[in-house]
Amino acid sequence: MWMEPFDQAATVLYALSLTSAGGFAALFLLRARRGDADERTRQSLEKHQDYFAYLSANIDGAEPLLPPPGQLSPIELKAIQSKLLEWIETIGGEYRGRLTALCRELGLVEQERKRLRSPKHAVRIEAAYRLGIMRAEQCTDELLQLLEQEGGESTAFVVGRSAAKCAETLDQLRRLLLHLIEYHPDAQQLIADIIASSSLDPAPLYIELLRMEDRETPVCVALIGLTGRNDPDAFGPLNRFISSECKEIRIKAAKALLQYSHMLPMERLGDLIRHSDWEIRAVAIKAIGEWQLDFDIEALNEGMADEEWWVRHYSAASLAQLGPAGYPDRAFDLSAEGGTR
Amino acid sequence: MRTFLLDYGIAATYLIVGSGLMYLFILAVSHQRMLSIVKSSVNSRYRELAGSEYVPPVSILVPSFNEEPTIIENVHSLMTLEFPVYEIVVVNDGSTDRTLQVLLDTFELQPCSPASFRSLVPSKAIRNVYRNPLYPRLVVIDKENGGKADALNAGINAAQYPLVATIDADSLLEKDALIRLVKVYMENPQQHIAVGGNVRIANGSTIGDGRVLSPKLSNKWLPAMQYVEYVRAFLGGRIGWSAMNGLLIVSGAFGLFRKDYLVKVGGYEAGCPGEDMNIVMKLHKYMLDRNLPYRVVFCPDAVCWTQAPDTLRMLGAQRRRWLRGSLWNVSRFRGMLFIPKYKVIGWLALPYTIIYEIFSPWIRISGLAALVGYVLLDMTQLPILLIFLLANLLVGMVFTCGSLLIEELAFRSSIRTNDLLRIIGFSAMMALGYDQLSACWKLLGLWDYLRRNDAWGNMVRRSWQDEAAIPVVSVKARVSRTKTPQRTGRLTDGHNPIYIEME
Repeated sequence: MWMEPFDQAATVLYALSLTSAGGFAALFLLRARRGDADERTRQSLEKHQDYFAYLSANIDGAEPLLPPPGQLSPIELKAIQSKLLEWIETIGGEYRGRLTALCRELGLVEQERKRLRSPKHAVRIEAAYRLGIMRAEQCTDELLQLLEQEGGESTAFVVGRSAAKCAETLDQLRRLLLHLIEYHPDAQQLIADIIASSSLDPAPLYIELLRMEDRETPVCVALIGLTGRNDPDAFGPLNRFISSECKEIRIKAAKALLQYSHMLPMERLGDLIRHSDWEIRAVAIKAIGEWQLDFDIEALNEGMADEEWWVRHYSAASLAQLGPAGYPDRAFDLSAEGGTR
Repeated sequence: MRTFLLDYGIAATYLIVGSGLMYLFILAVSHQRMLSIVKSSVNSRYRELAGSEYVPPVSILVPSFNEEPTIIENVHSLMTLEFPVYEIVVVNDGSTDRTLQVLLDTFELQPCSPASFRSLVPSKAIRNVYRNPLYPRLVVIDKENGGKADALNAGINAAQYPLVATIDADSLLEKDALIRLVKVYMENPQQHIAVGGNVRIANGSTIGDGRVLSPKLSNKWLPAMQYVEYVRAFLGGRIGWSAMNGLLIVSGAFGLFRKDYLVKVGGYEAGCPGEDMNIVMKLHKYMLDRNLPYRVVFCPDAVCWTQAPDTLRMLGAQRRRWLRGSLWNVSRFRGMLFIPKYKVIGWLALPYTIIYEIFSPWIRISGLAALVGYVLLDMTQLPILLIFLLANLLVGMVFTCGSLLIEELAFRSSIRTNDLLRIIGFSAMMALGYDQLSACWKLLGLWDYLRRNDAWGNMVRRSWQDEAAIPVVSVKARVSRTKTPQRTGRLTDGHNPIYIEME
């Protein structure tokens, strides 16, 4: 009678045993393969020590960097690629350009380009990542196509960053930007960061986005992207967005606009300090202290009595930053202002 | 009687196997999202992002109670994170040792205006705020003792940035751990309201200059067992739950939160024994009540190292405390059970926690006892007892294997082969004693909860380099720091890093 459940349990145990045995076998196989590959890479790197010394010595030379002499085995090429990618990631400018040219010369770009068409998703993503490091301009369109397949997945950011690094034209950058905005409308700061990794100046693109006044997300991304820049062409559109119906846009526009505080008439700054949005009042008052603007101290004093904590906080901070001129009696009496102290 | 014992034992076996299958089911249904997370992590380098002006600033909250031996090294360690803009808010929760004094002396801190302190969430009174312009990132808050939740609330009140990271004062972060968490947040800042890091056991590893230089498995059996447990829980469990948006815990050792939502839910709940689960449950409830889109996400490649208790007494106290915390929260949020609007939380995650936390220890112990009784009545039936033990063992092995495979495939595990073999050995041994012990602790935790016993047991400060544990204080809950048994020690000597081999 009891044998029946006994048999059932035995079946379950067999299944569990097989699963775990198979899993551990796969684990050790993977580790062995990786260990072997790592060892061969190490040996290859050691073998080409002189070549890496040559690269280091000639990275700032006038002549193009030459590939290593002789025929390279696939594992040697892989090892050299890993070292070159590591270097490219840590340097910029002309040196990086020389190393990426060497990668092309070595056929690494073509090799990764083929992997971009692999049926395995993980291989495609890795290839995209490496092409981005190598700034493979000729692969930008393929990367953009791959990006379109990624949709809303997290890997879209890996492909997107690579496409941005490879982009040669503003058209490509625009396509990338609009795609990321469509599928990841909330990742505005990350998108701005990805676009900033391009060697192209994205400012004209952002100014173009600002014309899409009816679409909130592109405008927000443009405003984020323009914050911290100093492009006079952006000043006009930014000024216009202060009166946008969308609060988020108004605030972002104010933050971006205050980067151009030297171009802002005092009356305009005064408008921002008295704006109905407390966020705008706060950033405007903060800018006075940060940029040491010659502005009416009384407005900051009024800010000390603002109903919003952040406005009071930045009023006090700006008064302090303005030095002796910013120390009217009230700045010493913050405790009277309802919790600033 | 014999039939009853047998049937009960078999039912218990199936329930144990069932709990394992449940995890496999979760992994299966969420594998696509899981793979996407892993692939994205593997093919991302964070050096660029760590210098980006678009990364939102973070306030790192470090609640501290009697952390004198470790606090300086940990603050030094936090000061060298690869991250663009952040502040470190150390909250001294009324320590009875020299925690505050060593901070003041080392960083030459001076009392200053609590310029950014606001009363956003309830916390006990602040005594003073200390800063030094030479260390602009560091703020030290001195407050009355109120427990970990209260200290975290004070930290929220003092934080000036929109994101807050919570870190235990005795944990070590990888240099890029914070930027990895924030990158996950940046992928969807509107919805990713909380992001949890991956907590690993540092016992046995080589520590230098506040970093884990070479991860190794501890030579002591107890931390080694816990290493296996952590790998299973974080890589085997949390990735899957995260993909289903069913995470109930963001580890107190390392997590990232949107401050505005922490404030909206009223912050951490004073007196709650499991504040890390409590805050996540409150966030789930808040968002689901309002039908707002959100996710609580696990980031497996943001690694935080912690030291595991290495005595049975300390470990037992920790597990009893954890169980009390889980029960407290399950009881508090029982209204979410099987209500459609609470989705995965109400229908799967919470019921699973109840079964796993409350019934599982009972099933394990009573199932074993029933079968032992059955075999005692008829010694020829010994195989049935072995089947029970084997089922326990194999389910654990499948878990361990799956977790190690994820680690190997996604993160190119740096653990040595010798240690890997030991992990497999420990995984097998867990079913033969450790699991039963763990179940006993859970039952004792349940008993504590029913008796409303809030004692935290002996908390021990442990040096990273010292083997000898120094008992510091035995405390009662409520007003005590609610934390795992402590460790720590000098990781550096002044400016010269000391490379120490633990154990």
